[in-house]
Parts: sequence; C-alpha cells; structure tokens
Amino acid sequence: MAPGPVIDLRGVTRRFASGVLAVDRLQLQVAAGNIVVLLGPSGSGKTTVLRLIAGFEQPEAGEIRVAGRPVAGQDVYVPPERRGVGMVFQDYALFPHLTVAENVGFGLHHLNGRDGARRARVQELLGLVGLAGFERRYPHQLSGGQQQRVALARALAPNPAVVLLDEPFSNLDADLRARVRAEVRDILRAAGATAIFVTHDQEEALSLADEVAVLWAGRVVQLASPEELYRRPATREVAAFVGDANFLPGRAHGEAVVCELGTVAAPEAPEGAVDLMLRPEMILPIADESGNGRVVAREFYGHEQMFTLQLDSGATLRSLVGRRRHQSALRLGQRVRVEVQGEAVVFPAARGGAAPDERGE
Amino acid sequence: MALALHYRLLTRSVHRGRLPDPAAVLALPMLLPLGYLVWLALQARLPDLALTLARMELPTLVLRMALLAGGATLLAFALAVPWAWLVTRTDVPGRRLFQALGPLPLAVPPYVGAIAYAALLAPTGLVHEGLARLVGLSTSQVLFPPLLYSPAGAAFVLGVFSAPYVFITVQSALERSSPALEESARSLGLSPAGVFWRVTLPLLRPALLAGGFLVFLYAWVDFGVVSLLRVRTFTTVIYNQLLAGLSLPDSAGSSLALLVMVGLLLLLVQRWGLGGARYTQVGSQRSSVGLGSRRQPLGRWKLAALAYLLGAVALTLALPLAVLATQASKLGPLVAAGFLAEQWPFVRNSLAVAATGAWLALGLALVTAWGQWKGRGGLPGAILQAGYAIPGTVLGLSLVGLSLALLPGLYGTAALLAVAYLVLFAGPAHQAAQAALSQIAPAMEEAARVLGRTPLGAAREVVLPLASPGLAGAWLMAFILSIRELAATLVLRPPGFDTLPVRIWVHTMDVGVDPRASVVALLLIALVGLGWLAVLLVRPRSSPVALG
Amino acid sequence: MVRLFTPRVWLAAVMLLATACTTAAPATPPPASKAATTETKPAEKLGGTLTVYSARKEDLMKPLVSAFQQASGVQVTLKSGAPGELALLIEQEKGSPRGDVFFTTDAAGTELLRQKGLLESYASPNAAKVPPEFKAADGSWTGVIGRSRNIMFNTTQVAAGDTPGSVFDLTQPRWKGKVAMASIREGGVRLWLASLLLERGEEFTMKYVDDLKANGVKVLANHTEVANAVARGEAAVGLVNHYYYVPKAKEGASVGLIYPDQGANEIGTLVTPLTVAILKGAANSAQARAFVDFALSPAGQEPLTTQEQEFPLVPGVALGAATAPGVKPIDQIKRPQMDWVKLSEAEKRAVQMFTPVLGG
Repeated sequence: MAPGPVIDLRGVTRRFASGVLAVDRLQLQVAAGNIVVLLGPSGSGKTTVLRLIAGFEQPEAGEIRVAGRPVAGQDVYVPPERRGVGMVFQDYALFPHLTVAENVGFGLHHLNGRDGARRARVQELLGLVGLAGFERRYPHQLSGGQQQRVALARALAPNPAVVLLDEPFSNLDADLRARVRAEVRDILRAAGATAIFVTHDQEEALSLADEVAVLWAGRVVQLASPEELYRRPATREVAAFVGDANFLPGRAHGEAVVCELGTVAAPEAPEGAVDLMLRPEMILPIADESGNGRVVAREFYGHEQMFTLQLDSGATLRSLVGRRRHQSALRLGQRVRVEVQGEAVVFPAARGGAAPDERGE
Repeated sequence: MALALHYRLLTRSVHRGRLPDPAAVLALPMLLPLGYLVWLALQARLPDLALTLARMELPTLVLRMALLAGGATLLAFALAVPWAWLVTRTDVPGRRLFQALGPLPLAVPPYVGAIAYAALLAPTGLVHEGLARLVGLSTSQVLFPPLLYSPAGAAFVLGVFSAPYVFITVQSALERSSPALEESARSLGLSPAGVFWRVTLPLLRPALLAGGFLVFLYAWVDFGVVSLLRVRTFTTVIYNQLLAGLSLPDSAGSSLALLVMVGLLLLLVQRWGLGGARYTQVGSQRSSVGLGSRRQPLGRWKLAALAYLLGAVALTLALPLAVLATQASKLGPLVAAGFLAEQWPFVRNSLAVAATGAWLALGLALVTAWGQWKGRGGLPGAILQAGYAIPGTVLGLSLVGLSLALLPGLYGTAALLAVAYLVLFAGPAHQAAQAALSQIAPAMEEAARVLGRTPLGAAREVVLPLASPGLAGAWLMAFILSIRELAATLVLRPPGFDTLPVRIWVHTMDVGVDPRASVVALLLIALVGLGWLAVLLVRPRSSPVALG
Repeated sequence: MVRLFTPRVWLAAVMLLATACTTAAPATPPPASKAATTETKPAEKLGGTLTVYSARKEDLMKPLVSAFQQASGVQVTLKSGAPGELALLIEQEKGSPRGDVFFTTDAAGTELLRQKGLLESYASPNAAKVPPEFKAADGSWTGVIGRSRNIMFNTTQVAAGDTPGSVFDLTQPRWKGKVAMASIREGGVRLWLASLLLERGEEFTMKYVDDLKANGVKVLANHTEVANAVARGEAAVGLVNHYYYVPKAKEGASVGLIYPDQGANEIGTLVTPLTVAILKGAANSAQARAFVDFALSPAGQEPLTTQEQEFPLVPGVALGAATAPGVKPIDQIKRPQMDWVKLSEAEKRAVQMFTPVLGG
C-alpha cells in the first residue's frame, strides 16, 4: 500500500440542482486497511459522499484522491470504471440475468481470455464469503444474507483500493443483521480491504467501525473511534445521535457542574451556564420516598432494564440499570433519588431548542 | 408505464463539463415537421386563420370531443380494468389464455373495427338483416336508428379497440404491486369491494392515468373511426378544411391548435395525476414472492367472472373477427385463395416499412428514455409525443414539402414512410421503452460501472439485457402502430408501393363493403397477432423471483 | 460468460432479419402491370413508364390501365387516393411532380389545380368533341366519362305515360309515400342538391326538400338500397345516378329510367364528369399525352365504362356497357351549365343545410 490515506477528500462540495447543499467543504481521510463508517441521519449527505468517491457524482469544489491519484477535482474527472473502487449497493444490485459465478466474475474483465485465472479468483472469493458450490445459482435463488455476501464478493473480486458499502444491512431481518454484520467485517478483515460504510444506524456504526465519521448537514462533525465517540461526543447533536443521551441544564464551576441532581464531576467544563449530557448507564435510581423523582416507565431486557424517570422539575431521564443491581424492586410510580456515576460531558447551554432527535429514515 | 408520464420538465440536472444531452439533440429533428407546420400556418393570412378557427365552432366541437374521448376512456376502463385484475389477482378459469388475449385487440386497427361494427349494426347491416328476416319485413325498411353513426357509436368503437392500452398498463402495474397491500387492507376490516375501491384502484392511479391518457389521446386525434362513422371532430374538420380549401396552410393552423390542446391536456394530466404521492414500492424484488399462491379465490363468482371475460373478448375480438370472416367468406374459397396470393407484395411492403419504422422509433426512444432514466429530464420524450398528436394526413403532406425542401432524394421512396412512422410513433415507443427502463434500478448500471464497464459496456452487458423484454414490447408497439397506419401512408407511399391498410382502403373506397377488404383486414390482423405471439413466447412466464 | 443465445436474443435476431430481407426486396409495381409484361412489344409502341394519380376506385381504373399498357407498351403505375388528398399532394409536389397524370372524380379540384398553375395544357385531338363545360378552355383538363342524375321507376307501378317529368313533380300528392332517395351521405345526392342551390337558390331548394319530406319520401342508407327498393316495388320511383339503374335493367327487373327536367324552360339533368389532366413538369410527358388520347378514344372509353356503366363524354362514342333501355348518350341530354368550383362550394352548403333533414 502506498503511504498516506487511501481515500482523501479535501474541501469537497456538492450542491444539487435543487439548490440543496448536500456536501459542504468535507474533509475525510481513510487509512489503508481501516473500516470507516459514515454515520448520519437521512439527508446528512453520507450517501452523496459515497457516490462522490465512486464517481457517480461530481464535486463543485474540492479534490478527491483514491490511492494517491486525483480522481475528481479542478479539471479532473476519472469515470467510475477507472477509479478502482468496489461498491456494495443497498439492495445489492446483483445482475438477475447472471449466475453467482458470473456476477462475481463480472469485474474481472482484465482476465478475459484467461478463464482459468478468472475461475480461480471467483472460487477464491466464493470461498472467502462461504458460498463455494453456489456458482450456478441465480441471485433470486439465494437468501437475503447470501445475496449480500455475493455482492461483497463481487465488489472485492477486482481487488479494489476501497470498498464502499451503502446501507448494506438495511434489507436484512433484524435477527440476521448482527450475524451478517460480523461476517462482513470478518471477510473485509480477511481480505485486508479498506472499506467505507454508510449507515444511519448508530449501533451498526459502533459495532463495525475502526473509525466513525459523523456527518451533519454535509460536514464531518466528528471523526473518532467508536469508544471516543460514545464517551466524548463533539456536539450535542452527535451525543443525541450516538447512543441514548439525557440533557440537563446546570452551572459549571471549576471541575464540577451543579444541576438538579446535585454536583456532577465534569473535568473540561467551561465556566457558566451549560448543558450536561448523561448516558443512561450513568444514572442510578434508588428507591427513596423523599427523592426528587419517580419511575414513569420500565422496559425489561432480561440482562438489564431501562427506566424512565421524571424529576419534580418535569425533566425526564432515561436510566439503564444492570440486573445485578437488584433494582428490579422499583415499581412504576415509585419515588426515587437519582445518583450520577462517572463524569459528565458538558456542552454550552442550548438556547431554547431541544436536541435533534431524528435518527430514523 | 406508470412513470412514463412523469416528465420531470423542470428538474433537469445539468452536469458540469458534459456535452449537451444527446437525447435532446436527437429529439430536435422531430421538431422539424412541427416547425414546418408553424411555417405553413404563418403562410395562411391571419384573418383567414381566425375565420377558420371561428367557423369550427370550437366550444361545441371541444365538448363533443371531450364526451367522445371521455366515453371511449370510460369504456376502455370498464372493459380492461376488471379483465386485468381478474387475470392477475384471481383464480378465474382460463387465466393464462385471457391474459394472453388482453393486448390482442390492438391488432385490430380501429378503422377496421369500425368497418366490422358498421357491417354488423348499420341500417343495412347483418343484425338489421337478421331482424328484418325474423319479423318478415323488407331489408330496406329502417328498423332502428343508425346508433353507430353518432359520437356515442364512435366512442364505443374507439373504447373497445383501445382497451388494450389500459389492459397493458394496469396489468403490469398489478404484477408489480404486492398483494400484501391488499391483504393488509383486508386484515384492517375492508370488504373485498372496499379493498378494490380504496386500495387497489388508488394504487393503480398512475397506470390508469397512463393507459387512460393513451386512450383519450388516441380518441382525441383519431381520424379513421370518426370519418367512417361520420362524427364531426377536430380531425374531420381539419380534413374537410383541407379538402374544401385545398389549402394546407389553413389546416396546418388548425392542426397546431389541436396539438396545443393535446399538449395542455398532457400537462394537466401529469399535474393532476402524479401529485406528490409515490406509488413505487420499495423492495419490490421480494414482494412478489409466492404471488402464484396468493390468488383470490372467486368462489361462486367464478362463472360471472368468466362470463365477463368472455363478453369482453367477444366485443373486442370475437365479434369483429366473426363479422370480417363472414364478409370475407362471400368471396368463396377459391377466389379468396387466389386473392390472398396476390397480397404477398403488400405483406412484404407492410412488414418492411413497419419494421424499419419500428427500429428507428425504438432507437430514438431508447436514447430519450435512457436520458430520462438517468434523470436528465423528460423534455426530449415529451417532444416525441407531439408526433402522435398530429393528424396523419397533415403530417404526411407536410413531410412531402419538408423532404422535397431538405432531402429531395428521400421523397418518393419507401424510406420516407419509415421516417413518417418514426415521427408518428416515437412517442408511444418512448413511453414503452421508458417503462421498461424504469423497472431497472439505476444501481444495476452503477454496479456495472464500478466493476469496470464504460457507460456503453454497462448498457450492453447489463441494462439492455435486463430491459430487453420491455424493449421488445416497445418495438412491437411501434411496429403494430406502424403496420396499421393509414392516413400518412396514403399520402407518402411511392406510387406502386401499397401497404395492407392502403389495400383495405382501396377496397372500401366509395360506398359498400368489399369482401376483399375483409380478407386484407384479416390478413393484417393475423400478421400483427403473430408478432404478438412471438413476443409472448419469449417473455418469461413469470418473474424470476417467483421461480425461487 | 454472458449467455448468448437466450430467447430474447433470438427474437431480436428474427426482428432484424425480417427487416433486412424485406427492405432488401425492391418495391414491386402493382399487379396492374402484369398484363403488359406478358405482351410482346411491337416496334412502333411508345414504351416507357407513366405514373397515374387516380382518385377513382382502383378496380374501375384497372381495365383502362391494362388496355393502355397493351396498346402503348407503357408501364403504368397507379397511385390511388382520395380526390382532395391527391390534389393537395400534387400541390405539395409542386416543381418536382412524381405523378404524370391526374385522374379524378372531382372536376372542381382539377379546376383549382389549373388555377394554381399546376396542370399542363394539352389539347388532345380526341377532346375536340367533348362539350365545353366538361373541359378547361386552355386544355388543362378534360372530362372523360360522365354520370347523370336520374329518376328510376318501377314499370309495374307507374305507367309509361304517367312518369314524373321533373324532380319537382315528386312533391305532388300523387307521389306521396312512393318516392325513395338516398341519404345525404351519398355524394350523388349532395351534388344534385348543390346543383339545385345554384339553379334555384337556397330558399326554393329548402322548401322543395321540406315538401319532399312532407310527401313521405323514404330516405334509405345508400343508392344501392334505393335501386333495390324500386326494383322490388317498395318504392314507385327513386332518385339515383343512372349507373344504379343499368344493372337492374340488365337483370330484367321492371324498371325504367327518366331524364328529368328536359323541357325547354326546365333546368335539365345534372351530368358530372370524371376528368383527366397532365401535371405540369411531368417527367413522362409523351406517355401522359398518349394516355389522355387513349382515355378519350373509343378503345379507352370502352374499358372505362365496363364496370360502373358511366357513359362517354365524347359524342359519337358508343355507350358500351352503359347501354340499357332508356340510357341516352351525352349529346341527347339537356344539362344545366355548371361552374364546377361553384358546384363544389354549393355542395358544402348543401351538407350544412340538409344533413339534419336527409342525414338518415
């Protein structure tokens, strides 16, 4: 692999004919062998970024390099077929008139005339995705998960510099999704591929990615490892979008913030009015008739449970409690005292508007 | 077809640094005949033109035509919608046969249909004769008024023979939409009738609009049927003007007025029709799984449904064909055989010009439909529709002048006929090609591109093979419309180069039906029917998904 | 790897092949030319080709065309069309005509073409005797054969001395319920009414038609029905063109023919011509002249009149197939003198005025 990022987007801007700014001066670098997930709500421009890299869209400004080679920018436009990128489409886009082997071998046209080499590569890929023996089937004769793996094998076959995957799991049943996700990740690792996923599903992003790039209104607002992203979201929006988040107003002073729940540790807080962000697992309700809140809802998940608490001020909090905590005794309507465990993340106080809560399509 | 009307006139995305849209460039020459008409219309002195238009009694005329075209459309709906629904969604006996028969009435040119129904229902027709014999009256006694010779009669004939337009669009829409939607409506407590009115019909709205629009348009610009049945419409008025003043400029002006009305109609339909709702289903690939096992059992309605289908087939096919056969049989088998043998040159002429015209139309339609499929806007496709709305005689005559001015070598050759068919029928071919392409996810092409194919390579290896059944349908549509075209052919054919419709006309010229006209008509219908059969045979029996 | 021979590919191949073979085949002349090819060609024959734009029913033209081909060795191609369409086509082709001769049923259309300078003037020696109203003064066109507008009667119902002498007699009470005529959809009816409009004016004609209706005239679908009704005695008299009478007379039906309004002060019997003309700039001008000469010669008139029994407009030429008891040659018919263009305009007026009454 060449040194430097495999994918390099600098100041990339794409405006649609309707005037909507889909991608706004976007910066993104992806290192070889990395799996990066573009995470964002619908309309955040993440699919457009993928299509810009693939060459289906052209940027108005900025530059795109693939494996060090400029493919789009001022006076440069390399068409998709010469960019050396692979792509797995949302509904797989398997060619229904071709067999599995013909689909996987479709990108190996440089091996035309060398049927042996071509067949070997197809076999290799089908082995990698665990579909050896399915060569003569047609796409409609496969299950959704199998189609998914054929699409992946087809994208990987020509050894692309990067594989782009556009919401690849959205067409799978929920129980299948987690398993296929792990499979795809393992296959990509085994192939040593660089990959960029696009998804609006934060759980998927966190479980797949080496790095997650959160897109908001056409820009990357945070590029970080899943842990970092969860623990230290860069903005309120990211915090709300990645995982569950509780927000409470407070006043920061020194390394602590004073709020409705008392004094909470917050190492990097600025002085003055702030919003505290508390993850549900940081909030611990304890049965206490003199407490300042009560339980209004309970969702039981077996190994843990989620409580919805209402404070006397009217604010609601979500609280995730492990089973070992013996909090199962908490009844609906029970008055509780709320304790905070761990350090809070602090944002400048929001002016009136609530945090965006859109995360689905 | 549903999306075929979706002209995204205003949302063309112009790509930076790209060449002008090739579709627009190719569609431009189609504007030449239009431009020539405008130029001709300008030759007419304006007061004359105004007078001409005033004399046409526009309000009455428009009202009559609206009733005529509206009536035809309603009849086509009444015949074709239940037909399409029964064969796709129920277990009616003979489902496959009726499904195959659905588009076949297209093979009967409406003017031939009018001849057949006139022979049946006219004051001296077969029914009249039979009745007279029954009650023992003379056959020259008028027993009932000439019902067929009225706007209602014309609407009847046009509706019956253009019902396939509705059948084709509705049936393909039903095949594409999942029965799950209807089933969920049932589960929500709607009766079967309620489901039909509140779910199936609204879902079919784009298909109904597309098919209905074709019928309406066809009835609006029809010349053959209304002139045979002596109904005064825009086209017959134009024709009479043409003959009265023997002046093309005047009728060019009127034709343009007709064209403008059609254009407005088109805009209205797409405005009103496609509102903002989306009708395409997401994930349709899997929604049709097991369709075969989910047909609604008709139970005690089975016989009624069968009777309905038989009735529809009788009206659109059996009855007219039987009348033509009865007429033809008057010739006697020996004479008929000898006469048939003489028709070979006309068969060959018809096949040659219609096939060439269909290839030209498909070629152009592919380019424009491709552009639309790629999101480059529907303007070129919309331009192509104009040809369909120009009366054939006027178009033919203006092509004479145009070709003599631009390409004198082309005039007087059969090639000009193919060009005329291109101008006339690139519109319908575009609609069909566009419908075929709209079935293919753009991701198919993109997948081929990232796997190293150039745009042409992706088209050749992926998109065209996938669209080929639909494109064959588009070709067939253009072919059928071309092979039965009469008005422009009469004007443009080189001397000595007759086609089958011309022969039908030659044998029906003046008064009285010549049995030979019926023989030629049957020959023409047989040819078209064979073409349809060929397409039917190569079409996959069911969607590949359902095989799994 | 792509499978080549799917059924779709076969279909495409077949479609292409069909196109290829059929387009490769040259356009064949119509069957009309068959007769000429079998004939051995004497040295004095003219030869060459000729294209005739014909607004007459093809079957009726073929005998003339075959006879001319045999006599002249000229290969004739017919392009049949409606009268008006062909006239417009000729106008569009101005300057580079593809036809040589225009043969039509519509004298008015021919006269308009002459006024637009689209016809070649040729005074055929055979046209000399054609009455002046049936030809252009400058020789641009000539009437070839004619149709007359007659009254046909049933001889068992109407005694020979009792027949109506004028169409205007038919409104008399003695003909009440006994007259049949065809619907205005028939060209013959339209032209006849138009001639009345020109001769007698709108008011008179309107009253006449109203009186006819009041007198119980039967409006039948077409002239064939009128002839049938008279032959069967369902109507005592019927208004028809003469050639509907001829076949009935030949069949031996009890029918007779009247040329109405032949008296000194009467309007005469309408006779309309079928005309022939040479197009200006015709490529085959010699052949075109030969054709016109032939059509006006006894040898050409005979085949022209075989099937529809129109009669020659050249006085002295035998009636031929039109011969039947009571049919008169052109020089024995008193006729209204018609301006064909005016008659054509009056025809449109007649359609407007009388379709509500005689639409049937």
